[in-house]
Amino acid sequence: MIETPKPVASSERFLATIAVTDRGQMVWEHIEAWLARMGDRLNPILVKETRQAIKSRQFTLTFVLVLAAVWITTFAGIAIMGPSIYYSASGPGMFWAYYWILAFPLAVVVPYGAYRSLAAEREDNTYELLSISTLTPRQIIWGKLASAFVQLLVYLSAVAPCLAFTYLLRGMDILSIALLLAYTVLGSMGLSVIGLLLATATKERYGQVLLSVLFVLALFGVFIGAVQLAYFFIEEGYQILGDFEFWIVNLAILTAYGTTFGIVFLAATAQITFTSDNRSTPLRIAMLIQMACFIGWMAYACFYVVQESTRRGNRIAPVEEIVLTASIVCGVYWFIMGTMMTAESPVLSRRVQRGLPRSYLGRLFLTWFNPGPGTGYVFAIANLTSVILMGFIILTVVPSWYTISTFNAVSFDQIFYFHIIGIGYVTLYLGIGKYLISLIRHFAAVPIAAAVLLQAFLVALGCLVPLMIQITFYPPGYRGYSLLHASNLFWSLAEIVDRGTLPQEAYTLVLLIPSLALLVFFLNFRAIAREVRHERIELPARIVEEEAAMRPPAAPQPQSPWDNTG
Amino acid sequence: MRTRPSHPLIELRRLHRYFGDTKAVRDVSFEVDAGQVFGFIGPNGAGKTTSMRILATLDDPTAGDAFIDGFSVIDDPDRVRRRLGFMPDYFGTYPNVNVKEYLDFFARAYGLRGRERIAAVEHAMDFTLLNTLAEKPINGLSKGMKQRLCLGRTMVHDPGVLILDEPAAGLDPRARIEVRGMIARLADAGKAVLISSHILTELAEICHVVGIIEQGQLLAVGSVDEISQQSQLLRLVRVRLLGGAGSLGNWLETRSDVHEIHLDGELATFSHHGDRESEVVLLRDMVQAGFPVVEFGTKAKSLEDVFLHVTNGRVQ
Repeated sequence: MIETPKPVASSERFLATIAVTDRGQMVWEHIEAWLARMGDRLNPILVKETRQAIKSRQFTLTFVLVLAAVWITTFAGIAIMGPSIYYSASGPGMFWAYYWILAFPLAVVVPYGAYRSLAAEREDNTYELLSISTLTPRQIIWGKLASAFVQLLVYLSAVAPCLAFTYLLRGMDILSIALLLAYTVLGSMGLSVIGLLLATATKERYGQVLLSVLFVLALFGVFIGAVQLAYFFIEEGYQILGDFEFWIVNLAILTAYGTTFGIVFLAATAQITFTSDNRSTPLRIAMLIQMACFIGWMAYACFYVVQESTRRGNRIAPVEEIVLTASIVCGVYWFIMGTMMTAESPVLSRRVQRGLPRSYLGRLFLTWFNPGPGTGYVFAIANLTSVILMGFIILTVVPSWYTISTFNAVSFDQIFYFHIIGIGYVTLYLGIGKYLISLIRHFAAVPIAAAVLLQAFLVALGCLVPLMIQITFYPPGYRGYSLLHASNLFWSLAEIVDRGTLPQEAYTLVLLIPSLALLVFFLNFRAIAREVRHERIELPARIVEEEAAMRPPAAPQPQSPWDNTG
Repeated sequence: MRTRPSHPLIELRRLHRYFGDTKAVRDVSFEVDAGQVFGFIGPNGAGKTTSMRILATLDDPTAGDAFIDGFSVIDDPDRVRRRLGFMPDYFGTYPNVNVKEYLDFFARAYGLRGRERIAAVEHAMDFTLLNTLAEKPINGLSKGMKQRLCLGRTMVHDPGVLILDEPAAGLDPRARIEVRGMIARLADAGKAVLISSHILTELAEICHVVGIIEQGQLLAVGSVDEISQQSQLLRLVRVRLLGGAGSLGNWLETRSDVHEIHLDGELATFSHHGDRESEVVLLRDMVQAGFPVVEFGTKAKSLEDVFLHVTNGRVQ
């Protein structure tokens, strides 16, 4: 019998090939499983919108246009420069050209895309389907932002090789390129979150159209501004990159950016959160953090100015100007924030009442973070007062350490009067607005936008009525300040600090405005007290039951070695 | 396997919803238990959709409250949403998305992960007979397919409560039968289903309980028979007599519980006011009076009749 020879070598090779293929397949399966697990962790909106974007014509078209633009720019640039490309620093010129191409999608397309993405959900009725899912409002806004970021990265990836190319052309350093790109990306994300807030602002179609037009115009403005700033930075930037102050200012800008981004993000989230949830406390905490950062930077600026003046041997450091500017910024800030907080509903939902602090101390300090117009009113005034007190502490303490005078253009009296009357105005106007809103609420709902308009109207009334009276009844040509303009907060406050000395009217104003403010505060006192009296309520039985079912009690553990026996 | 809860899965307690001077919903209360299909019927603008939107946590009531599985829609909408599937009377679809991706997105949005999500999407496609259309872009689907897709989306996270607003609107008869079958199977699986429809015959076939709402007020709640009895509806009686029904006409006219008598040869049809027992009495009286009855039949009024009777015919 003839045995058929076995193809030993080839079968081994075959088996080895199978083993390798199996191993390869296993590795691939592992990678696939890992990717699937990672995909599960991603925001569902990001996954869905990325899938949509890949298939959409609009995205492909924009991407191809950007790519074509950078290619044409590259060829045209090289052609124009000719042989000089080998010996002259042509990097800045090319960078600026590429920056035009990059800035347009990042400053206009991406933020507007984010705005439209959420607005379209409302128009196409998909937003309701999304809102009744278990996605939280934060996840919805994060998802939209993440989609905008992915889009941004795609545009960046199209232009990035060309930007790197400008470094090779000389005249552009890596730090400048990185800094410009970082700010452009941050700016684009900042504009995107603003776009998302605007998309939540109104459900009405005409409102959306108006907002849409205004937003596009604003984005074009930002685009032009960004290109101009980039040009300035490319031309002059290298000179300031080595300055310590430049990086400190950058840090301050980033702090302002981060805290503002947080507030806008939380505001957008609050807009789409269901009505019984606490939409105010996270925003108030964010405001407080922003204010704390602001005070920190204000203090740093004062110290820095005093140190610099001491180092240079100056006897005077213009600290009072920093404090005054900071107070004006804070006054405007808390007046605007106060306007929005005083428009909140006075009804505290049962859901919010479940989370109220229990302890006396908790109630004392945390009540002002609770939603409500009364607590919002006190929160705004208390914060403004705290900032001003901080300013005074800085004004008095810092110079005493460095034996230097901090009063240059204005006196201590002027600053003192300015602040007392300033707090008075904020308390007075916010209080009147709050009281009027509470009266209107008996007949109609008052949205936040209407409350802001009402406050603006009140301030305008306070400024224009005395002016009209003066024009009508006073001799022609008389344009001087008098107590008739006591309700005009801008003119009154300007009068106090603009002149070299304290004006005569200031003595009356310092009694009149705080007295009126106290009067208005007491007018609102009952409503504030009503909000403060809210107490924590217990969880409903059904929730307790579900929580207990989700966390079953742990099995009893043996307390001694004998517990296990038997 | 789910254990049946001790409380109703859907409960409306003295619900009111006003839009300015318009009172869309006025003092509406009812309950739906697990495994029950509740048909919500009423003319256009009666307050059905408003009530359903409140239950779906898309709107807040002016007064009163509603509960899903014992959780308030006002205070705990987050907990309600986990247990609820809402199918509105619009589609809500995305461009550049196919059937599978659409269901996958909502499965993710309801927090399903990994194999659980894949299985949920497969189940939803199986249930709604969309397996063969998995890769088809949703913009290219027919109305019936879209309706099935929306039902798939509504049930992808396996909610205990389903609220379906006009699920069969605009569908052809075949698609209606399919949707009706799906709803019946969902109820068999122990889900509480609240459904509104204008096609009353369909509701009558699948609903255990119906609620008739008009001008924001719930006029009647119960099974069709219960409402018929509550509202003392007339039942249609048909009698065939050997040799002609002429003489029966005179006899019937003497009775106060009989109206609308029609005679046609051997056949007499008339409306009878009373319950089933009184029908037995009527037949016995007829036979005792010597009428040669060869056929006696009664027919309950349809849901349309009940609806028209309860709403006094004021259908818009």
